[in-house]
Amino acid sequence: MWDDCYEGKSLLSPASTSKLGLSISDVITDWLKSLPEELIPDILIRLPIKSLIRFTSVCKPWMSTIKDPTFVRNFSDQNATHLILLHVVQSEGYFNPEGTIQIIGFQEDSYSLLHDDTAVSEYCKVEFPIALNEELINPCFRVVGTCNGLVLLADDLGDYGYTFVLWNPSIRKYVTLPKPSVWFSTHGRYDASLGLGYDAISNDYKVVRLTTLFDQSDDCLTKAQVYSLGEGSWKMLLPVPVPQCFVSDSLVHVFVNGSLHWMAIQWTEIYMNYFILTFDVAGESFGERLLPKSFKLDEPLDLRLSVSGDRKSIALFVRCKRDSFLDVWVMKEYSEEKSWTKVVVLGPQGPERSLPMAFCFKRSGEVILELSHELVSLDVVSKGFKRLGISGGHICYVDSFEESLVLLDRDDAASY
Amino acid sequence: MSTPAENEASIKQESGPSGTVQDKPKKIVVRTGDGEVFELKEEVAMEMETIKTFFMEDNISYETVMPLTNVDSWELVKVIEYCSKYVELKNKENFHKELKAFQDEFVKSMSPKTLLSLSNVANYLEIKYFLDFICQAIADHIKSKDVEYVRELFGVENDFTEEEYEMAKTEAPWAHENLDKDLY
Repeated sequence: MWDDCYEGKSLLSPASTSKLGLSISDVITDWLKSLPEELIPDILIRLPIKSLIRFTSVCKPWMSTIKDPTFVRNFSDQNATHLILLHVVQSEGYFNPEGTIQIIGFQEDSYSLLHDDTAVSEYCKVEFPIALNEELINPCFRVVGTCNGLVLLADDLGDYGYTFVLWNPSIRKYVTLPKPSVWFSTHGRYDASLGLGYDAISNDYKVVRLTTLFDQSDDCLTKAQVYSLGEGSWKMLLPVPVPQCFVSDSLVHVFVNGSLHWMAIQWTEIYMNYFILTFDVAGESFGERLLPKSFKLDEPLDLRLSVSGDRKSIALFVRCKRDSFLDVWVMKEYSEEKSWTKVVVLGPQGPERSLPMAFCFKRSGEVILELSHELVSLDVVSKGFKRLGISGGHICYVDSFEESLVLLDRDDAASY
Repeated sequence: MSTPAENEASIKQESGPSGTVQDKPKKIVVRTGDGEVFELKEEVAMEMETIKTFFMEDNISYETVMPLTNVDSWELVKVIEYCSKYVELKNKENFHKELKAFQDEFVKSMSPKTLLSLSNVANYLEIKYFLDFICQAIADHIKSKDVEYVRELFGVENDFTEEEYEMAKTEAPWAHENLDKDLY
């Protein structure tokens, strides 16, 4: 019997152990010479998320190991599966003029994850927590952005909506944020932009909401509120001043190197300028970054920020429908303001002579674009296009995504 | 492993006509917990941090037999098999491909319990790449197994109440679906 074990054959059967008058767990525990505790996380960290969630029920020590903040952080750090989150809307009409999305005759929407590799094949479909839809004012939620596997959803596609949700689709949990304090009935008409970022110092996730009020007699006034997942509440950012500005692209923000970035317009008595408004998430302070050049405000340009392929810097898409060009700029060295480089210039493409719209960069450095109602990837070096086989419906959101365990330790997070 | 007799023969052969022992490949001798004595090639022994530190730190002579009380002979056989292969393949062009092929065969020959024992040994002997490999093999083995199987394998007691366990299951039923059916 013992020889069988030495040669790696099947273990002691319940029958034979009871013959010896031992219980299985006695034998097994002795046999293992007690596996040291430090090895368990080393094994668990290599498991897929579904297994980890299941194994929180193995025993209480395993549950606390898996939910431990250090384990959650390490899991994200070593996770090598790079994905892309896709949100598609089926509707009769879908309009995306500057700064807004309008949906007419909404039918349904769906989420899926794709591999961020050459084939960009489907990794899995994502199930949406349908209970959330009951709160909607607009046809569906909009994905504001993602950070470490956490997705920020907002009910602001059209009418003023105040439902914001932090959702982790990988572990099927979400937290509905409390309502922020600046809204239509209190402050009149406004324009709002959001951002989701991670505070590495306090291991906290924060949502920033910038609201620019229209009904002001003075210069435009932009207020900032910050929600902290750790605190579970919003706070007005006072007396931290938001630079005199308003956010020009309220749909897109970028989180990179610990800061949120928005495309904004600076407003003084003498001039108006495009610039990049930044917010250091840990320090909770605003800043500015320069664009590659001065863009004229009177030209019909659509300026859109993005994250660079290596996720360490920012990129800029400049699209002009009137003059039919799409320029792609990348800041090669984030710390070097002069390192902005124009990497590609595109004109109308394909038989329909349509101007592509850029969404984001793949890890490999290719740009994902929408062209004639389907997604294609563009190699900026060879200028070659590759059809990704993703079409049908209106593409509402495409950007990088990583699976994570964030929200697992929150007992107040809803499961579905 | 070579017997003491065979070893002596090889020593005599390698010392050469002048009778010097300078060309002899260095060997390190260890004794496992169950009393077996093993001679390891120096290059293989040095892959194990615990052994390396023992000899290097205080400049202990290789004539000393190092006791490895927490390691059984069958476990050491497996460790030597892996480390020798790793050292052999290390500088080759197809390193990753050949190592993967070897790893697949290596895992096939072992039961899950054996893998757990080896992870203990890999940790004790401080062989990082071997520990990584064994932990990955264990993770791959358990990833589609159910909770009961994992408890038995690791010898952990279920300290949840019936209620607590059911509640955890209902919170994430999707995580408990589509699993391997085999036990043990």
